Amino acid sequence: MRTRWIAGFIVACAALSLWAQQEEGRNPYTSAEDVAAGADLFGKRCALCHGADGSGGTGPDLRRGQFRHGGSDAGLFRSIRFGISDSGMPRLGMPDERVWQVVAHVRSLSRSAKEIDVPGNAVQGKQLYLGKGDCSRCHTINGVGGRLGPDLSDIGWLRSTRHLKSSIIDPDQDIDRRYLSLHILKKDGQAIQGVPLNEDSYSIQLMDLQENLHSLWKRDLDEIRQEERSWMPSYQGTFSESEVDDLVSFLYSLRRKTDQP
Amino acid sequence: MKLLVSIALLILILSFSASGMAQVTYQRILHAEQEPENWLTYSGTYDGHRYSRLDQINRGNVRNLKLKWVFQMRTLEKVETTPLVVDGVMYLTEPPSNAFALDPGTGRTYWSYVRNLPEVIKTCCGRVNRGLAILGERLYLGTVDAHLVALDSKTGSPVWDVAVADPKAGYSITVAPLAVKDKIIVGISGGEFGIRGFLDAYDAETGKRAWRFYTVPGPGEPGHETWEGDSWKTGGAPTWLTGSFDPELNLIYWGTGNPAPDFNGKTRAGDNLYSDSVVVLDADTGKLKWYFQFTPHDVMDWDAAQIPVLLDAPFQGRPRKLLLWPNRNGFYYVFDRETGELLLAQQFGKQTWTDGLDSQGRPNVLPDVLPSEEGTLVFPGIQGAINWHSTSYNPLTGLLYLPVREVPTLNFTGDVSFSPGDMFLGSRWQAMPEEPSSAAIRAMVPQTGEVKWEYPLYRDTWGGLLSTAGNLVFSGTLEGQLFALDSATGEELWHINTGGRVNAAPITYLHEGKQLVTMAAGNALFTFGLE
Repeated sequence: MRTRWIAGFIVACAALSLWAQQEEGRNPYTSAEDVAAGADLFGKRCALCHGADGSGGTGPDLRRGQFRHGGSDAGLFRSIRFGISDSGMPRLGMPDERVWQVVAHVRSLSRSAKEIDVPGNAVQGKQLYLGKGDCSRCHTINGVGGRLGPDLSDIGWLRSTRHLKSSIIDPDQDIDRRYLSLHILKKDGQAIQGVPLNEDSYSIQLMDLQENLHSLWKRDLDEIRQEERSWMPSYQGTFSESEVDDLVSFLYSLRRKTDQP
Repeated sequence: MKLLVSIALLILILSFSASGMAQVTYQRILHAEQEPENWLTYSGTYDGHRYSRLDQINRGNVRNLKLKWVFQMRTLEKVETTPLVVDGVMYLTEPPSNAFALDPGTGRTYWSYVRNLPEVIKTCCGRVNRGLAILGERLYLGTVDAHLVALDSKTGSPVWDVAVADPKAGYSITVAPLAVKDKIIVGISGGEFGIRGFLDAYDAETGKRAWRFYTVPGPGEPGHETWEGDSWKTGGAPTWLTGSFDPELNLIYWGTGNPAPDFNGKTRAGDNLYSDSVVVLDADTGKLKWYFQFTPHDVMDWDAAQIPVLLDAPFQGRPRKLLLWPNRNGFYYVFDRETGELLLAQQFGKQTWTDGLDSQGRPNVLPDVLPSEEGTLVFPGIQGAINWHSTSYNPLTGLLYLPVREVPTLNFTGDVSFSPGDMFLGSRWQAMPEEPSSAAIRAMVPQTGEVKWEYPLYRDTWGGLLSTAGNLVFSGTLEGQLFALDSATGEELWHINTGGRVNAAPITYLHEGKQLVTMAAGNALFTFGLE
């Protein structure tokens, strides 16, 4: 009887402790088994964008241990459980316990800055970006530059070095569909080239190569052709291997900061 | 000569026809009334008239208005936004703090900016937003986490993002900023959280703060003596509705909100400057030129959050630079906006709290009208005889159009303990639906307050007004109808049921040469045209 009472007390304490941790937003599932279970889930559900080792791909590098949408356990839980709107990060529809296990695994991926080796020289990379590469013709950093390519102000948060490198050498390999090359021929003979912004059954919206916005009724068009390639040229041959590293190093350093009051 | 003019005109048209090609310079906003095809700033023009010279849609054909498109928002919050229209592109906000560019021909978007917000946001009255400012090629957005963000107008990409105040302490931004010269003027919300209010100006290019005017003066500043003890630290007086600007005087006119706590003044003895006031500031420095406090030591939540209407017109036979101000407390005020001289102050909506104002406009508050433990019934109720909803001045009729509410509330006193980031109301209030109440759109002679006509409404409205050279006044109802009235007579000429409560004011503009009217209702934006 007494043993049962004690066992009951222990269970109640454990439940209370779990509840207290969850209330505070701390991860209640951090054992080695939880991390392993989280790793398994990560491989199946997260690795496609974040890389099997968490070093990133089209999704951010998770090894830095810095997270823009909340770096606390509760913040990570929220991002994984509910997704991040308009960012490409979907919600993980799973029981809370499983989500916490993924949080535990993501935590285990953290490495020191030294351990995350980024070859290349960011200062030289910036010069290449502005000079030889003329990248600012199509890309913007903090409001300065062109608009046809993705804004790079935050690209260091969003992409792995591996993905940045492949985007420079072979831009067509993995294109964000918002930057496909679009060719339009209007019935009045006018041709417009640009990047797609929006489309429905009746109309299409785009930015042309001179950065003008257009909204066109499809009834006025003879042809809409979207090519599976980017307007961005390959820089293989333009840059040496070490120059590509420099550029990647510069891009990886781009992380937008906001002021605090 | 005629050919030259034609070529010049063609160049002008071409330069504005390619979407988003032209820069919105300060000069363009300054003369916004000369390009009625656009809507360049919150109230249409710096003088707060919300009037358009367009007359394609007029009292002869308004009954033929047809729905062109609806933009559904992904929100259950109130939609209070006033869109901007610039050279063929519409820019608008979606609650809580998102922005869109869309094509006014199709209602389809070019881009969106979706702000990720902290989980906890402190707002009194919804996570809302009233619109954007534009200057150059950038849009300016205030967010409910109290940031000011500059967005590229062609892509929606953030150019800079500065923290204006601490959202955890109850600060938020819901106001549409005002672009003046090279600065962005932005106000703050949080009067229900015991913030210390201010009005800020930021360098449009860099986001660096150029000046801050505290609407609650600190120690050593004039007006500080109107706050008891440390009550100034939590004094409220937010600045949550866009002000107006007089370029000749270089003065900004901005209304301030209630002192905090709202309904209990016992810890803040004094007039509580500059709550419930108009503050008139030098546009370059933010220095106070003059002020007027409508409701000293307010305990009724009567924010002076109304659009300042600047009017150059004769007053008692003399040309004057006037400032018109129908206030939440039930009185209508006219000032000389250069000197601050009060020219007229008279009741425009039902009120039971004062037996009149003295020659300086100071009210004599009746003894039995203050909030009490058992509750005190007062006209106007805490939502005021007018709230924040835009009025409209029409130079063709010479009339000021305003939405008037004659609705009481039962006001209570209560606890005044302060905890940072928590509601700091000092009590509560209660709606009294069984009490007789009324609401209307009224047309008023601005110099005298004389009412020329009235359009009665079933219930108190939350919609703002727009008047046009087509002899029309547009607005909407609480029940969801949008309507158009004859600006000379108040006769109803058109209405349509949108099925969603109206919380915003209409705009009008041209798209491909044709006049459109756009207005939010429910959780969507509706656009109408003639064909």
